[in-house]
Amino acid sequence: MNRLDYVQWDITSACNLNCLHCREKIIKNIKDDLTLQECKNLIDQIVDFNTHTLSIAGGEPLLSPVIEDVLMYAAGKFRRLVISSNGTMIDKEKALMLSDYVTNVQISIDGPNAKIHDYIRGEGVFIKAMKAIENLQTAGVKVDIRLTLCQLNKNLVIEYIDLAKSLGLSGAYLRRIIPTGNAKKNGLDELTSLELKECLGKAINYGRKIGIHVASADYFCQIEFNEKARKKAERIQKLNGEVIGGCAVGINSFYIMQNGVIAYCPYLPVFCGDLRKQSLKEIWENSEMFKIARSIRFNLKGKCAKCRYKFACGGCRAYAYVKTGDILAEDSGCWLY
Amino acid sequence: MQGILKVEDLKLPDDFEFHDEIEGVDLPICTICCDCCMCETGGV
Repeated sequence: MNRLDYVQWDITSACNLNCLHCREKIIKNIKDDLTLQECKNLIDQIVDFNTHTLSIAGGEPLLSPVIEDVLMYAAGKFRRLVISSNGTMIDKEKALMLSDYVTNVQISIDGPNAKIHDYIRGEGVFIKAMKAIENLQTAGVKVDIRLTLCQLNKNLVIEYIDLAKSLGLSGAYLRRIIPTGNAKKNGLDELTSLELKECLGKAINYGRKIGIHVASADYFCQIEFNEKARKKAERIQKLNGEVIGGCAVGINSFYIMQNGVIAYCPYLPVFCGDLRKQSLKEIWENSEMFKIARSIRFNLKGKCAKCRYKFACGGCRAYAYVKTGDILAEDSGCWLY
Repeated sequence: MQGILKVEDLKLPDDFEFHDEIEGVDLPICTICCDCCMCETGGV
């Protein structure tokens, strides 16, 4: 059975914002969210896999009526228990509560100033997020910030890394936009592969210079800009598919929706199983979609199929699907080949 | 939430090649975690 290291869980679909680039179309109906007892049962099942990281997002996770009880129950059961929040609800009291349970909080910040952040997320959100970071730091919680890269903020990455530095953070996370949900509806455009390369390279190199760890989920980015990752990728490639690097969906991670449905990815929600009807173990071992996920690298098309890092990277399947309607298509956002 | 897709919606080719005996590289405890990421290390 495949090892399960990392679980991402959207605990609620409720949100108090309606961001221009959100992958969700706004839903405030939380009637279908898992109950506290169901959440506890889910956590018990995840713990049975010795999973090291549980990352809880939403919607806005702090809007879940069971969030504190869930965090209390999950605390100490994982090496990393992470909350991703928009920061609008983290006052001093909430920050203290979080400090009791979580190991990290990630706050979404989509630009280095209120002008761009509030344009994407709504008026007054930037100042609330800044206050949230201050409250969390005062409470002793490790904070990271996350930027969704799109045409609107691609020229602001240096200022963004400077913001992370001025806030006393250790890192910043940059992820390219996947044009789905609100992003597609609102026409927030993704970067071309060369723009992405330039943008991430600039941010990573500047981060190294001033001591800010800049991260990106795209494995091809790591291969490009990190020698250690590149050497590891080359070692993986030599194993010819026995070991898979890059996106780990179905291999050693998965995603749970607020209603207990396990789906392929937040950006590509293909049904994998339903925790209200099946056990996690049953889904992990028998889901047809997970079997497909574990075999995708052998079936890729286009430049991903020919890429020298096919088994070590494999591109983003959600991006490929959103752009072409084919989960096996090449990841056109990648510049490697 | 966008609609949930079924495996059939992916229209995979009939000759899709299945491989059962694969394993993932260890997902280390990285210093940065994203809310969506299934990345290997999370950082560079």
